[in-house]
Amino acid sequence: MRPTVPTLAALVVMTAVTLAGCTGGATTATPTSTSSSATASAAAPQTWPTQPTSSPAAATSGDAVPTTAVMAVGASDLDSPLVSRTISYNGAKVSLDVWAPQIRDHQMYVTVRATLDPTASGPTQLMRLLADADPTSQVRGIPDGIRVVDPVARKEYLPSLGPDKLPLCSPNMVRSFAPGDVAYVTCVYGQPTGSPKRLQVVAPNFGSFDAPVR
Amino acid sequence: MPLSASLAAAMTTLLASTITWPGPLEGPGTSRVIDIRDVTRDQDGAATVTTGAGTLDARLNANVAFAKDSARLTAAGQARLSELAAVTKALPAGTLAITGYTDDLGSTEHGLTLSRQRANAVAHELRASLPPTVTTTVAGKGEADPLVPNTDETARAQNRRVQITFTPRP
Repeated sequence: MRPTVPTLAALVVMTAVTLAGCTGGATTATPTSTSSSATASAAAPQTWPTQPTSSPAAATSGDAVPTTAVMAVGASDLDSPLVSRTISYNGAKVSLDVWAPQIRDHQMYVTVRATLDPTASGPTQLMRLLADADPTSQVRGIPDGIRVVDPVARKEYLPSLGPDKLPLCSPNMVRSFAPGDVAYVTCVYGQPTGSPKRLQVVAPNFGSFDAPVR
Repeated sequence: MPLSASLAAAMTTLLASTITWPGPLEGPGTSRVIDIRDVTRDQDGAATVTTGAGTLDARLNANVAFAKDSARLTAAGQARLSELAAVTKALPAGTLAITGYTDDLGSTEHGLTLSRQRANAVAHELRASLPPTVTTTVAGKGEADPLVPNTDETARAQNRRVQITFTPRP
């Protein structure tokens, strides 16, 4: 029997972004500082603005902006994030809120929220900040660098792959985010073996977050 | 926890995994069911395993699994293959292809021989528990089909591997 996820809302990218338009590539920068803070409250997500695109293939490969409004998850679907951390990236503060990994129908889901500080001087490619260091990942704009680690079993879970062999992380876009923009990112992973109670969510540039499994 | 029990989840996803994923072009509120493959990597770098949609694709890191320039399995390699055997023993009918690769150092003949010997060593560990409906093919390809150009030792290390790929019978 093929497991399916009963509620799409659990998977969907929740992206609350006000796009200022593509303003070109962001410069590469190394985060200069980190800080941890208490949990932040979840902001109400907004629907994604529709954009034209040329073909389905282009959209799924991350070359074009998705044409649909990504469904927003109601506030009740997301409680407060587990932990938040702020870094300095390219001279701007970027915060990452992390929710505890969820196990549903033999898959694991991790949701994070990246927020570009409103006082940032210019646009930032938030998805590249969360993408794997591999140059291919950096170019295609998929935030596939988020890993889930089981330190007891010494295993690392990478984002699952879709039929196009691309990581199932959303949003899938090469686009600059303007100061104040917020992006919700969800990635799908395989169900951890051994039913661990705690895992580590490891986000590029932000570090490791210890988390209970829901 | 018994090894076989700890891999129960992996075996479940091995056979068929689907999720409902938003389609970017279908408009708000739409989605489609897609086949997915789960990816797991050992923190010690011994192996990366991709399972799902009835397939298995495992890449065994030869630098961890074998002694240097040898087809002798290390303790880490044997342990990893034991885990993998618990998954492969539940495979449906099909073909398990085991292919060894080396870097570009040394003679071509040496690479072909070593890669074939390593593939045979892996096959020996897995065959004992394979279902009778699974046939195996074993090959050594030497320095052919590198994952990355052999530009430095890091790249060469990536290319030193044994690939284990299962294809179900149609």
